[in-house]
Amino acid sequence: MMFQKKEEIINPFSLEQCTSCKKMSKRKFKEGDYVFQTSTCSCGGESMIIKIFGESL
Amino acid sequence: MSLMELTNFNIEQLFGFGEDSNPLLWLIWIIPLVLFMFYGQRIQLKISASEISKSLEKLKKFKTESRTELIDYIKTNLKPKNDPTSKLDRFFEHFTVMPVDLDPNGLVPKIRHIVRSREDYIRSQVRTFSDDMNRVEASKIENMLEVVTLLQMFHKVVRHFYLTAKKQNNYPLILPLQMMIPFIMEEAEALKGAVPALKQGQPIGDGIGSLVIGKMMLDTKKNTAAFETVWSESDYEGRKLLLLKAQGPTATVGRLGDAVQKIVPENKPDIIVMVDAALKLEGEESASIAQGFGASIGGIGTERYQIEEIATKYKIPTYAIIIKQSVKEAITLMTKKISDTAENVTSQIYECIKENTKVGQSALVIGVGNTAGISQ
Repeated sequence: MMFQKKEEIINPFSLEQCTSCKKMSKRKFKEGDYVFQTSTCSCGGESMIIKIFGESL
Repeated sequence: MSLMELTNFNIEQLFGFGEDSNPLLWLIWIIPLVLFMFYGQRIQLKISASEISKSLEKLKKFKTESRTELIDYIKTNLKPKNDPTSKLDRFFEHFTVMPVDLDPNGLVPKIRHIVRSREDYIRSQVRTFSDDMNRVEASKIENMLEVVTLLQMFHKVVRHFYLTAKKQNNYPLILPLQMMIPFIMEEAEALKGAVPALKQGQPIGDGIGSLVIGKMMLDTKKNTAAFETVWSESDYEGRKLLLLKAQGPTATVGRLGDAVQKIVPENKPDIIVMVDAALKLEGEESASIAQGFGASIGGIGTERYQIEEIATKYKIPTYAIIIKQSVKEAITLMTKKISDTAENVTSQIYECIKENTKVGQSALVIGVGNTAGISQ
């Protein structure tokens, strides 16, 4: 339709930060992710999801 | 064509009023006049009704799609022994009879009792879908159930007024509906948009308060304050901080009212700071932060009543920090702009505590909102 509003596509992302090397990485959200969830960083330190947010394409 | 030619016309000729007037031209003017005089309202009703009918179709689509999504989610993820469709359809039709308010004395505890009974019932019924369902999973279904029930209610109410107005050819009846429909549609679209975030356990805009306090709670010992509500102790520049929020990453708002009633008499904080998402006014910037006074907490009002009551009893000043957002932003996946305010909100909390307490005093800091996808 000519005047129909284009639907915005929002993609969810998880932002992780390592507590030791402070490296930040943004990746696509995986089911089961939650804010302050911890995992192991490649440096051996503890990495934590500090934010989960949506960004439009 | 010159200007003279454009202005040089005979009005009588134009309207057919001259001596050599044509009765056919007269009719062309009179018929619509008579039509609008006698049938104007009906014509208006038809136009308004056709607009509302389009919205009604959209509402029906939202309702059906979210219902199907929920049923499919339960069937795929929980694999119940029996088909849950009929049971779910019964839940969507559930209603709550609010207590009589002819005598408002003691009304709030009655409302709280009714609302909690309903919540407990839904919670226990959701658990029957699967024996090995965890609390996070159950909370997702409870939230989705709420969304579908609301969409169903919106559709039913709009349809009722639309059909009644049409049946009775009652134009004034359709006017309030015509005025309200943009607001209803805005909320319905937000609810529809909330389903994917709830299904995947993602944080929603309303959870910004929980996100801020959750971060402040990291590396502290968490204690249960009330049902699905946790609190912990921390310190800041010689002040004791009592941090309180709903227990994440479950999709819950917790029972902050009960928690405050438990914590305040035991710890007697000197101030209360509440951090919450709030609906922005049209024209206001999304994710802007504002500070104010009073218990900033949404819902039916029972939690706010509890917090206000205890704050008044112990004469504790209550400060509020709000993060403004639209209805859609509040119940769908948290936007980057909102999540980026977390650092600023934290510094405003510390500033508020520093300004309003002395060294050795304490502050109760409450993160209000749905803590879906946000731990602590």
